Amino acid sequence: MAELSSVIRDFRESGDLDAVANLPRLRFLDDRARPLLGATVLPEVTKDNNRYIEEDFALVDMIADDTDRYSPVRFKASGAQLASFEVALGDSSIGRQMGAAEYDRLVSLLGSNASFEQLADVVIGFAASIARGLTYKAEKQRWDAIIAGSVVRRVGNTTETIVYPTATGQRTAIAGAWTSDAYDPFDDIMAVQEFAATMGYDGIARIITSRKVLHILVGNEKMAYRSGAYSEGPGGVAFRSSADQGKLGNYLSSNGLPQIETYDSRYSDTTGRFRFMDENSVVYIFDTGRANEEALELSGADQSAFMPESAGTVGYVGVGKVGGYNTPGRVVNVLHPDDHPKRVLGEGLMTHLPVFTEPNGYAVHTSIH
Amino acid sequence: MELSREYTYAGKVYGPTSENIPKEAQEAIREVEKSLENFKYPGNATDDQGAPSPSEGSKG
Repeated sequence: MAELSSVIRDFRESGDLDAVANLPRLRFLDDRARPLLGATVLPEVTKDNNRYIEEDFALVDMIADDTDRYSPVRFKASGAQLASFEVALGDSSIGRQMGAAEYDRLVSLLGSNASFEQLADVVIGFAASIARGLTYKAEKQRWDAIIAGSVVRRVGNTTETIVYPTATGQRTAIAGAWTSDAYDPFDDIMAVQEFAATMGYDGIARIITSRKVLHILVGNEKMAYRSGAYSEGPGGVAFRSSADQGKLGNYLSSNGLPQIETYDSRYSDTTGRFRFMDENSVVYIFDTGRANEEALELSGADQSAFMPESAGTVGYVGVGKVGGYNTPGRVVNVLHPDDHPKRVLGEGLMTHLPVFTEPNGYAVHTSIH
Repeated sequence: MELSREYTYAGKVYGPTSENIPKEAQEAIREVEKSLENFKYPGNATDDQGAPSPSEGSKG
């Protein structure tokens, strides 16, 4: 019969816990295998340094000048890069305990003939749950950065706010009521298309919002008119057929817009369950064409890629080295102390921060009502 | 009209320095400003130490 303590010791010594902590699926999926959409917009990228200057920003193409045939070329001194951003990755950690009662239940469930594989599954499940606490933290920071334009790191009484650049019109609160049939939400959506064009992008590649906002859009009468749910009958009478997501989707497509993706995933904390992404917001990701090679190469057990190849990214989440470790990545430790009561302890650590390499490659509408 | 953040109304963006905001937009913005006064970003909803509102970053 295999002993849980010896399985854990084997895992620690073989380095398999590090592999579990950095499993590709943990980066992109939640505990119910639903996608973490932020991870496809700002995928993780491992970084050898925890502090560096990010200069890989979108280049501004500058127009050539008229010159004389034999005169030297004229250099354009400024405007080659939009900006640089000093990145200081921050630390997150989580500690969990499989207590004595849970431990007892586990042992009785497994019975006296528990195989090494059965016990290994338990250890992997526990380690993955701890690693997910870290990937959830990164996901929450992504949506804070995108929607609020800032990430607040709070350690004890010390608060550090990382503020990201915002262009005029990039993060706006919606003043008009999308729930009002007298108001046309599509005017606001078109304003984002114009903003994208102003910033030099071809258009909007993704629209991400909550199911609540999607329902508001489907239910809005002006949107129903736009999407063809009304038609002229005899004598000029308007007949309304049912407005639905299909009609809305067709209308968006015919206006060069993508299908709306809904994102309602939540994370748990000791005080309750909270959304990663604000329920009353819409995030528009522009067609940046910026691929993330590290993320594109990752695939699940069935060889299917986690990253949609067509989706551009607007940056990344830098994952650096945890204090005391030589290689970048998440670290998960599982311990089995020998003293009484029997228990399994787990700890996870990660050094990370979202970074935008396309600082104007997205727009946000908040306060939708 | 002093605004604490940027607003979109009928496809037009109005910021802290905008002038000549149409009356109906002013009314809508006032309503939203009122509702946002006590707004806390959902991720920090249980944190009483002062979480950022969705538009605080726009000041940076």
